[in-house]
Amino acid sequence: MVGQGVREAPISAFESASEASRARIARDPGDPRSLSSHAISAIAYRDVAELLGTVIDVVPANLAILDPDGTVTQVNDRWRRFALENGYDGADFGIGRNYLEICAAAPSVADPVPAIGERLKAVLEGRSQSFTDDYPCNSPSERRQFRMIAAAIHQRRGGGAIVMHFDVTGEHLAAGVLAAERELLSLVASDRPLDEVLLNLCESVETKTIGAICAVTVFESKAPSIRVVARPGFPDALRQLLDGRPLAGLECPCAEAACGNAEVLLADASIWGKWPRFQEAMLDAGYRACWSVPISSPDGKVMAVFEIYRPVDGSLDDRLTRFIRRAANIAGIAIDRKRAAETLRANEERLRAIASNIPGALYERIVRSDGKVEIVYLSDRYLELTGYTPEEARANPDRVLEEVLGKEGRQTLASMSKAAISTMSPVDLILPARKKSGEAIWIRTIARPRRVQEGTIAWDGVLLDVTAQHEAERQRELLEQQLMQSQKAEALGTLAGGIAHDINNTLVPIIGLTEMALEDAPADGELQSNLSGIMRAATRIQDLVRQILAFSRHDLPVREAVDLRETFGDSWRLLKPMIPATIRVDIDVGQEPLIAVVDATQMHQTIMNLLSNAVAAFEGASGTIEIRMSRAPSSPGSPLPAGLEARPYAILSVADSGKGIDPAVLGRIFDPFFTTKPVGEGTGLGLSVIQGIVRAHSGLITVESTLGKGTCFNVYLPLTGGAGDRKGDADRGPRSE
Amino acid sequence: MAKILVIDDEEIVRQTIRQMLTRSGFEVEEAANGAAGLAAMRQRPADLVLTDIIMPEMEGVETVLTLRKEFPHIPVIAMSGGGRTGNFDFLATAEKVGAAKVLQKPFKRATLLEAIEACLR
Repeated sequence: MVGQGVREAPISAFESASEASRARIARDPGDPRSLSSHAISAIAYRDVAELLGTVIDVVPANLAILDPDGTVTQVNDRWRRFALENGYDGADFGIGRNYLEICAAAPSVADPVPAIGERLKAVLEGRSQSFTDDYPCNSPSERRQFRMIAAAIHQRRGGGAIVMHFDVTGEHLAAGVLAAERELLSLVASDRPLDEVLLNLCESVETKTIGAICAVTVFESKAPSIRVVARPGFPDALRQLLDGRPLAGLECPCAEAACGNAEVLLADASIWGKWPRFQEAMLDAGYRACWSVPISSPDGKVMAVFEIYRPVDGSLDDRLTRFIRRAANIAGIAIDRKRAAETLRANEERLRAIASNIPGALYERIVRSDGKVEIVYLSDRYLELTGYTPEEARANPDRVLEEVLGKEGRQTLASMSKAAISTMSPVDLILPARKKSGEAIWIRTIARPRRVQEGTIAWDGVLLDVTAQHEAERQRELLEQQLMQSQKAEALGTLAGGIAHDINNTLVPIIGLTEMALEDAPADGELQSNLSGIMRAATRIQDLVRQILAFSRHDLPVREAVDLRETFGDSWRLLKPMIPATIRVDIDVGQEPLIAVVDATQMHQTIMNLLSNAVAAFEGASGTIEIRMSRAPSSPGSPLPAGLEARPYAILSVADSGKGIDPAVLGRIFDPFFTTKPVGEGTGLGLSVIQGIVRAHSGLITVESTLGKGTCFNVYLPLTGGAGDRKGDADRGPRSE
Repeated sequence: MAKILVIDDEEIVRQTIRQMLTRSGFEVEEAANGAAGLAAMRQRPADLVLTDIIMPEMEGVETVLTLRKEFPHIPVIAMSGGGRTGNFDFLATAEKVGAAKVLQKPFKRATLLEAIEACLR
């Protein structure tokens, strides 16, 4: 069957069938144009033949009837048309020729003869009823699939067969497309790399078309340029026109598809069009048609364009078109997933960056209805804050929380959180905490609750180390307290001023009259001595009043050179009655004068304070107070305490065998307002004032104490004759001996 | 001998000062407040006035001011138990308004006589 003569077609199937039957009737010897029984049967036969011709023409297959030796005796209309369309050789459409020979010569069938030869023979010889065979039968532009069905028939000459070739390309493609879609979806679902998915898409389409090549041009979200994903056979010339170029201003179908978010068909590149350079490159590479399908994200943004280049002009088969559209959707999902993953990763990185910059630990903590706690997120700063790694905390949330906050802190947090949940209001707490190392810190937690589902609450919060702020706050409170105390002291000063005025007025007659009585009293008598006693006591009161006023108004002290032993003696005479009988006082002031320039009143105040503290240390129990006064040894073997200059000092030491001072508070006893006495019994000012006085005299006060054994205060006061004094100062002192 | 007016609201203080001064031969007149002191001065002026600063009726500083105005040649010595260390420095104020000397109560007789002699000299 060659193309020549074929042009006369189409020939009606009916005509051909009735002609054949007429030919057979004509050859019948028993038909001299009479209506004999032969004639009647001949007419009947003719009718059947005509009917057969009609039937075989409507069968949707290329059909041939073979006689027992395999010769084609009859073909249907579809057979003839297929032969014409596909350029088969011969004008008789194979009638009268052996079927297998025709098949062997068919250009579009790969090699069906050996495969079907034996099976067809079995049918023709009546050994087998029928067989079916699927085979590819491509046209120059299209992949096709055919199904052959051969069935035995019974003819007058014995056996034979009817052979039908159905075009099952659509069915085949549908199955292939379905398989390809499944594969693509599984690649996407298993999070394979994007390029693998896109290459698979290209391959799927390429294998279903002839001579086509595919590519996906991806518009990276970060880079403004195009990236071409294509299989190795993709023409370099086309790749160079696209790869790495910015989308804006690019002249090609894919750019148009991307910008307009619409499919673009370049049906024939050889016809002068919009993209001369691109069309030329296509033609050079052997492609005439290009179809571009945009791949969009769910929100409609074009992320890529799928392109198929074909060597023939025109549009694609509908089935393939539908497949490509669906595949483009799947590719869209793949790209979207990749973008989402990238966004997620970027967000995670951003969160990590923020979390590591924030001066505290960020967390998300979930508390379920059954009380189970899960730490969903905890930033790395937690380690710095608490000494526990976020992993440790996440593994054992309850245990780590209790170790950090302690039982009490955990309970406080729990009850505050519970209260906050009832109104869904944030929690802001400052709690004492302990690091893994044991270091005590203060943690501020600010967290906001969020209902995740019924009974489950998520807490988003931050943990801050507020130790420094807390300490500052404590200091501020202390200062406030001190301010309050000083205001109290000022009020006391005002009061003291008023009292001092009255006392001073009262002292006028006491001192004045005593003085005159002394003048009148006989010398060396008892009266003289008694009046002198009144005089001394009155003078002491006068000094005390001055001291009270000085304390309340911070007057400049009045300093003069005195023998400290005498000053002590004066104080002692006043203080001695205060000492309970249960306490023994050992005094040793030595023989050597200890001349120092001091404010005698302040010295009295110092001695009185130290002595009253010593008495208080016994808490009513019995014991001994040792008072020593001497020149400080300043040999290299026993150096002076740090903070003192190299010069002579007097030491006044007051040691008691009382309860001692707790080492925990020993460092604070000189702090203003620090007192161990109950509220109202001590101002806590005593030792701080004493320290102030001693320092103002360029001296130093030290303390040693053993709990349960006792306490010893040492007061160092510079003696005259030191570097800071005028020479001979000690000798000129009014009270020097 | 010179006559001295002692103004103080406390009788015992006035009596003590009177004794201190009469022992040294001064003639002493007493007044219980500034107003009474001024009245006494207007009737029969003294050679020197010794006045307390914190008193009811006429306040000491005002008394000093009035005395200095009316009797510019008569020295005034101010004295106070509040002294230099109360909320208000009475003696410094008295000095500013013209007191020739100030005395912090209590004082010894010698101190008082020394101040008076210095003023009368």
